[in-house]
Amino acid sequence: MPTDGTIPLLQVKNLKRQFNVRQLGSRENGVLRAVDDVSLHLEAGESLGIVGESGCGKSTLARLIVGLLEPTDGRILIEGGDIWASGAAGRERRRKFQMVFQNPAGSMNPRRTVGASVSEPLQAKGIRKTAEAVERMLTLVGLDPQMADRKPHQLSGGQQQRASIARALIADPAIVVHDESIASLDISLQAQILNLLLDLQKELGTSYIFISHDLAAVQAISHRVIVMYLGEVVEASDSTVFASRPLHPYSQALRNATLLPDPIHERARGDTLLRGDVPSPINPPVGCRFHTRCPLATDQCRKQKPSLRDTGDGHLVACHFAGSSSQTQVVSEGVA
Amino acid sequence: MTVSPDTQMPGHRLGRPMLLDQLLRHKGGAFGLAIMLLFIFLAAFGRFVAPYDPNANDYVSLLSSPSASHWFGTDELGRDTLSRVIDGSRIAVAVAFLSVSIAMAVGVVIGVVSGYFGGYVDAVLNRSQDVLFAFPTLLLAIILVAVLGPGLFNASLAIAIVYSPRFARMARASALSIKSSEFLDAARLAGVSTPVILIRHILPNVLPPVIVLAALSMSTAQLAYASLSFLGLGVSPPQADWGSMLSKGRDFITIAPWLVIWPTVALVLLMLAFNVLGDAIRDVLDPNHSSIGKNPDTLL
Repeated sequence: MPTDGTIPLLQVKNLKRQFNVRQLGSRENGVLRAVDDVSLHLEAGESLGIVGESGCGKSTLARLIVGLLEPTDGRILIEGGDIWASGAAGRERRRKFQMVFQNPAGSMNPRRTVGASVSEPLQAKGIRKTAEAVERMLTLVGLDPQMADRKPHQLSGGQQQRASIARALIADPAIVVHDESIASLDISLQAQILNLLLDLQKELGTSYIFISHDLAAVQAISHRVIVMYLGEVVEASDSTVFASRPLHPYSQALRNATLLPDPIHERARGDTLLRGDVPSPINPPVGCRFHTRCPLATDQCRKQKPSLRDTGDGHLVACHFAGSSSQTQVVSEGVA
Repeated sequence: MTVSPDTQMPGHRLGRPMLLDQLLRHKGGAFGLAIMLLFIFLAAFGRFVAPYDPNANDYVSLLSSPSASHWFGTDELGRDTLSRVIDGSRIAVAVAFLSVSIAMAVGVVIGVVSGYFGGYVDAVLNRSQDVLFAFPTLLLAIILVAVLGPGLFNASLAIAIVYSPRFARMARASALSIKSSEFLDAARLAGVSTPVILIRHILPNVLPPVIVLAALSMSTAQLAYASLSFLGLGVSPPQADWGSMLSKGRDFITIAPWLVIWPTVALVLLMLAFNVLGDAIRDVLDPNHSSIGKNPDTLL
C-alpha cells in the first residue's frame, strides 16, 4: 500500500472466485474456491510476480484480473475505478488490460495473418489505418515487419510469442498479464523474451504481472512477488527481500526446489523438499491450508487459520511462526 | 532490442495460392472437379447437347438396344435414354446443391450458436437436433415429403431438414473447441464484439470441416433424392429423372438392361465426383499443411 495517499494503478480487493463442480457419487455439488480472498496492488511501471504450484489458482487469478472471468466476490479497481462497473465505463476500463498466453501457437487465429491478429486491438477501438502501427510494433519486438503477411504457423515459437507481445502492447494497455508466457519456450529464448519485456517496459512504462511456477524467472523480473497456495496468498514481498529471505515455509520449499547451477553447492544445501501433492481445493484443509505438508506444523496450525501479517517493510506472510522474532503486527486488510 | 537470430526464416513462399489452384494440382481434386463440372455443364446446356428431345416418343423403335442412332438405347415409349440421362442431370445437380446449401446454412447457424453460447440455448437446440438424428434418414425424408408434397423443391427441403443435424453437430463441436482457445480470449481482451468474434474468428475455423462434409453430403443427398424419386416422391413425369428412370426401367430389366444401367452409371459417377472432391478439399483446406499429397488420414 503506498504511503503517500495516491491511488495505485491496480487494486485487487478480497477477490474470490468459486466454481461449482459436480462430484462423482455425491448428490451435492462441490464448491471449488479457485481464488479465495486475494488482495494485491500494482503501481504504474511496476512488475508483480505471482508464483505457485499448478492448481493454486494463479491462472484463474490472471483471468479474473484481466476481466475474462467475473469474480464471485471482491473488486478489481484500475485507477480507482471498478472494471465491472456497468456500461461503457467498465468496458473502457477492461480494455486497459492485455494478456500474453502460455501457448504461443494457439494464441493467434490460424486462419488470419499475423498482421491482422496484431492489429485487432486497434481495430476494436475503431482505428482503421493500422499498418504503420503494426510495422512499428513488430520492429519493436524484434520481428521483421514483413512477418505481418505470414500465417502464425509459418513463424517459429519465439516469433509467435514476440508477435503475441506486439499484439498485447499495440493498443497501449496499462497492464499486461503474462500467464506462463515463457514456460513453453526453451531457456535461451526465455532469457531473450524476458530481456525484451524489460526493455519494452522501460520504453512504454507498461505494468506487468507475471504468473509462473518458475520462481527464479519471476524474481529476476518483478519488483514484488506474491506466493499463492490453494487459492490464497501466503506471502507477499519485495522481490529482493524475498530472494534473500523468504519467510513462509512454502516459499522456502519453492525456493529449495530451484536447482543451483553449482552441483557442489546443490548437494551441500541439504534442504527439505515438499512431499505430497496439493490437497484438493474443493475441500481444503482447515486451519492453515499448508499444514498437511508443512515441516513446522503444530496443533495451532491445524485449528487456527493464520492471517497475513506484516513482518516489516511490507513483507507479508500468512504463517503463525514465520519471522516470529520480528514485528508481529496483524494486517487485517490483507495485502492491499 | 536488436533483431535476433530467430527472426530469420528459411525461404518460405508468402501467401497461399487460391483454393481452386490447389485443388487443380491435387489429383483427386482435379478429377472430382472435372466430373462435377461436366455434370453441371450437362445440367445447364444439356438441351443443346442431347441428340433428341428427352420427352419425344419414337414409336418405330420402342425398347431398342443401344445403336448408332440411340447410343444408350430407348425406353418403352421410344424415348432416347441418353437424352433422358442428360436431362436428368439437371435435377440431380440442382437437388444436390439446393438441399446441401440449405442444410449447411441452417446447421451451421444452429451449431455455432449452440456451441458458442452454451447453456439453455445449447440444450434446446441440441436436443431438437438429436430428435431429428434419431430417425432413419430415408424414412424421415419420406415422411417429410408426404407432408410437404412431392416435387423438386419439397424433396430438397426434406433432405435438407434430414441432413442439417450432422452440420449442426460438426459446427457445434468446432465452435466448442474454438470457444476456449487462447486466440479467442485474446480477441475478447482486445474488445472485439460478440458478432464480430462469431463471424471473424468462429465461422472461418468452423467452415473447413463443414465444407468437406458438404461435398461428401452432396453425394448422399443426391442418392437420397434418387431414392425418393424411385418411390415416386420426386419430380412428376414426364420430366426425366434418374431415380424414376430406374423405377420404370426395373420392369424391363431382363429385356432392356440399358434402361437401368445408364442412369445408375450417371448416379455413381456424380457421387464419386462429390466424394473425391470432398476428400481433396479436406487435404487442401488444412491451414497447417499447405503442401499437398499427404496421407489424408492424418489431416483434419
